[in-house]
Amino acid sequence: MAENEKLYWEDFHPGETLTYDGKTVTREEIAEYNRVFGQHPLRENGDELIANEVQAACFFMRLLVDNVLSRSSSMGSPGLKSLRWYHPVRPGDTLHARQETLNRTVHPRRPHLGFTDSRFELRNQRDEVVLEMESSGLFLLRNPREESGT
Amino acid sequence: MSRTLYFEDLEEGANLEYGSTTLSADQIKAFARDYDPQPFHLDENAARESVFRGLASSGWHTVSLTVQCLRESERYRLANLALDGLDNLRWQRPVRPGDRLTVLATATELRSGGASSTPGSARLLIETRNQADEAVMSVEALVRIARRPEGPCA
Repeated sequence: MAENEKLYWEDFHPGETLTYDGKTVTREEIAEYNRVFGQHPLRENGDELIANEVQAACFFMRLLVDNVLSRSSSMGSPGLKSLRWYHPVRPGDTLHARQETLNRTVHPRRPHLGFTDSRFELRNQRDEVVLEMESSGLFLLRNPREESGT
Repeated sequence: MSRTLYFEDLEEGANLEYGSTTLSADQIKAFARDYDPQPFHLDENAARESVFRGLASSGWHTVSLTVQCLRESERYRLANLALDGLDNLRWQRPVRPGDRLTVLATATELRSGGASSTPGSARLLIETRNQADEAVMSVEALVRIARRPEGPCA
């Protein structure tokens, strides 16, 4: 995949893997999300601060935007097939992500758009899997007429 | 006063409304700046030219508000609700500034956790609707919910 060019649907190749830079989570970010959207019900002893599970997915989203979507023709996402949480996120954790493109199809009615299905993994600095997700993205095609017949 | 629902209070197939919430353009943009800085979540003009045809919330903002309603809305709160996973999430319609979202959920696959201190697990079929009663998001959540505390004072 080209490093500096804008990414279109054609640039996501099934079987190809991308890795994203790390992001270190601060205590303030967790506290602020909890203030607005509510706490994670603490599953462990004490009152140690852990991120709401949904915020862990939000941290992943930010990595995806910064590393891929901001330099792409992203048109949003229709949804996700599955997401599983395995390890909580705590202040100071450094998160990194991996994306494997599984499949891609042209939109059945709008041939200038295409879907990509990907499997994502978010891990912390101890290489523990925070979450796994399979989801779809919607992108513009670079060459709609050439690709619409495939 | 919201009513706390424990695992024992859930009935298979019963559809409950878990409360509602409204969001503003400023809230949509603030969330997007932190977690999903794509033009159609940040800027009205860019959004008008996009597939959304106007400013729309990040899908993760909609998920955040939906889970918040399940945990701490004015009507009910699911006791110590913990999420293990999501299946088949669909962002069906854009969420716009001023939209009032209502969260409905039906519990299926209820399984008590054995010992009374072990949370029960369930699959919640969730639909988030706007003020026109259109579904904006649907999702199945795999969750754990606290059991009702024992004792005469509980």
